[in-house]
Amino acid sequence: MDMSFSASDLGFRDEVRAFLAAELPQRLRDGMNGTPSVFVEPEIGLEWQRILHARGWLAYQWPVEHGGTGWTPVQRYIFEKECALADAPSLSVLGLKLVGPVIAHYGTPAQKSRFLDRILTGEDLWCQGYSEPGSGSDLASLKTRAIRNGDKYIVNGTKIWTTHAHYADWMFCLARTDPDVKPQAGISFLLIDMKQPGITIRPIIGMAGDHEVNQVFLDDVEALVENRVGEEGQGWTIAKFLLENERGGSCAAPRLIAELDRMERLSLAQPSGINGALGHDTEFSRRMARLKLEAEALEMTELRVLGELAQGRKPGPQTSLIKLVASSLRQHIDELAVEMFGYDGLQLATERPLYGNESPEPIGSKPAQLAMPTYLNSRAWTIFGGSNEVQKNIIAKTVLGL
Amino acid sequence: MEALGRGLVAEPVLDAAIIPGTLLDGAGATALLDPLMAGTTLVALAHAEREARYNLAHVGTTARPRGDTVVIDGIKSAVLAGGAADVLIVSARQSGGTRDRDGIGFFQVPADAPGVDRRSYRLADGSVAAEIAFRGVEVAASAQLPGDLDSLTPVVATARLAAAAEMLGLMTLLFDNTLSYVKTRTQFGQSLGSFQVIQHRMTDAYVLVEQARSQVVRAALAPADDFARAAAGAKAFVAEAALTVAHTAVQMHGGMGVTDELVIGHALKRIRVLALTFGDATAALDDYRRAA
Repeated sequence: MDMSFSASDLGFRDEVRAFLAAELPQRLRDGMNGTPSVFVEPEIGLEWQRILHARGWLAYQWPVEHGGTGWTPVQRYIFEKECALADAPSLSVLGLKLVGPVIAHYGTPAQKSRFLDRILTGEDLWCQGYSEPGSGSDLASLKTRAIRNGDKYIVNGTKIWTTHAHYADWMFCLARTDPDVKPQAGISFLLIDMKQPGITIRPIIGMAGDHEVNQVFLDDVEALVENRVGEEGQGWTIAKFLLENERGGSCAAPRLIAELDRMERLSLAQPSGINGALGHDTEFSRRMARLKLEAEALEMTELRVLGELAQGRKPGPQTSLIKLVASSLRQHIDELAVEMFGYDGLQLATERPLYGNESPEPIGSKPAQLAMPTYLNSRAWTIFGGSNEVQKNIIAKTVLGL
Repeated sequence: MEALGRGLVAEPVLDAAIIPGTLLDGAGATALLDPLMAGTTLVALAHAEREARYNLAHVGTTARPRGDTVVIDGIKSAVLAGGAADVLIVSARQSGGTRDRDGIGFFQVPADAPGVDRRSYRLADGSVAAEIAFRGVEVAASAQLPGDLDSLTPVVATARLAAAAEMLGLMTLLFDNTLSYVKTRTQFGQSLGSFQVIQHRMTDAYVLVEQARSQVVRAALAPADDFARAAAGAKAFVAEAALTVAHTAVQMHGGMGVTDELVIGHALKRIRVLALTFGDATAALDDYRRAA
C-alpha cells in the first residue's frame, strides 16, 4: 500500500516504526501474542497505554482539544498498521474508543474535565452496560429502569456480556427513564460508579475457559443526574453514535494481514506428512491465498472509508460492511489456524494466562497452544457489537433501500 | 455411537475401546482384548507422530531387535486416552524408509515400562491425550502383534464410522436445542424463528443433519469389501456438515452460544476433536477418492 503514501506520510511511518522499535517492550508483544481472548488483560493493555500517553499518541481517535493527535485518516491507518505489524497490544476500546468520544461529543464541560483525562491515564477503567438477557439484537427493548429522585436516578436491572466489568471503575449504561414513549425515545445514557453497593458481578466463562464478560446486576444503584450524558431520552441517539464507532473508525485489516503473514511463515515449518511443508500444499496454500485476497480487499475498503472521512463525511453504514467482512474473515483465519496445526491444534489448556513465566508448557509450539482457544473465542466476533444478521439488516435498509 | 453423541457422553469409548479393541481383535490378541472388554485394563493406540500429520504410513519410531527383545525409540503425539492407559500399542518401524507402507509393526508396551515418558494434556473436549516419548524401551519380541500397517485399515474404517455416528448424534443435539431456542427466544416482539433469515439457516442445518444421517446409514450398510471407502466418505462428509451445524448453532444462540454454560459449546468442541479421528476431512476424502 506504500504507493499511495506521500513523502510526509512515509516520514511519519518511519517515526512510528522507530518509536515502536524503541518503546514497545517484548513483554507486551508476548502478552498480545499470547492472548487467545478478544481483549488483552489490563496488566498488558494499561502499560502500553501509559507508554503511548507519554508520547502523546494515545487519544488519536479524539478531538485535538481533548488530547487528540490531529492525525489525518491516512496517518491513523499508518499508525494502526505499524502497531499491528509490531504485535503491539490492542488497546481497550471501552474508554478510549467508546465512551471517550461520546463524552467529548455530548458531555458537559464538567463531565469532560472529570472523566476524559482519567481515561487517558488509565485511572478509570470502563465497562459497557448495553445488552440485557432479554435484549440482544433488539437493544431498544432494554428494561433496565432509571427513576429520577432529586439529583439522582435509582437504577434497577441486569446487564449482560459486560466486558471487563470485573476491572471497571465506571459503567456507561443505557437505562429506560420513560416507559411511556416509544422504546427508542425513553432511553438515557448514564454513567454509573461501579464501586457502590447494589452492584453484583457474575462472571461468565467462555467456551475456551476465558473470563472476559460478566452479567451485572443493578439493585437500587445510584447515578447522579449530573452524570447523565446528553438529555433525558437522548440515549438511543448517543448509543448509535457509539455503536458506529465500535463497528468502524479503526482498521481491522492490518491485524488480519499481519496474522495471515505469521500463519504463512508457520505453515512453511509445519509438516504436510507427505512431501515437504504444509505451506506448499496446494489446497492449504489456496485457502491461505483466498483469505489474503479478502483481507487485501478489506484493507482497501477501509482506506476508501478513511478517504471519505478525510473529506469530512461521518462514518455511516459502511461500518456495518467492514464489521461483516472483518468478523467472518477473522473466523476463517482462526479456523484455518486450528486446522494448520493438525492434532496439536486440538489442545486446550485451562490455565491462564498463556504468556509469561507461569504459563503452561505447550504441546508442539506456542502458536499451536493458542490456536484452539483463539478459534473458540473468535466465534463471538459475528455476535457482539451487533450480530452479522443485524448488520445485514442495517445495510439492506439504509444502503440498499429494501 | 449416535446415542453417545446425542447425550454428549464424555467417555473414551472410541479412543479406549473401539480403536484398540478393533486392532487387538484383528490380531487375535485375546489375552489383552479380554481385560480391555472387561474394563480392567485401559489400552490406547500410540500411532500418530508430529512429522506424519495425517499420513498413516509415516512412522519414524523404530523397533530394533536385541537378542530375543525389541528396543523401541521415538515420540508419539496425540495419543488419545493415552494419559491414563495401562498398556500402549505402539507402531514402530522395523525396516524401510520413514514413509514406506511396509516394515511397520505394532508392539504392546506397558505404560510404566522403563523409558516411557508421558506428558498428558487436555484437548478441546476436556479429554486427556498424551505425548509419549519411548527412549530405549525394551519389550519381549513376543510383544509384537501379528500384522503390518494393513491391519490398521479396518481400525481406521471402524473408527471413522464411529466418529461419524457420534458427530451425527451431536448434530441432532445441536439442531434440536437450536430449533427450540429460536422458537422461544423473542426479539423485536416476535420469535427469532419467525425471521426468514433464521428459517433458511435452520433449514440448511436440517438438510445437513438428514444428509449426514444418510451417509452414516450408507456406510453402516456397506458391504465388507467397500466398507473402508464408505466409512472414509461418511466421515469426510459428516465432519464438514457437523462443523457447519455447530457454527450455526453457536451463532443462533448469540452471546449464550459462546459461553461454557450451554451444551452448544461443548458439542462444538467435541465435534472438533472427532473431526480429526485418523486425520481431517481432507485426509478422509483422499482415502475415499483413491479407493474408488
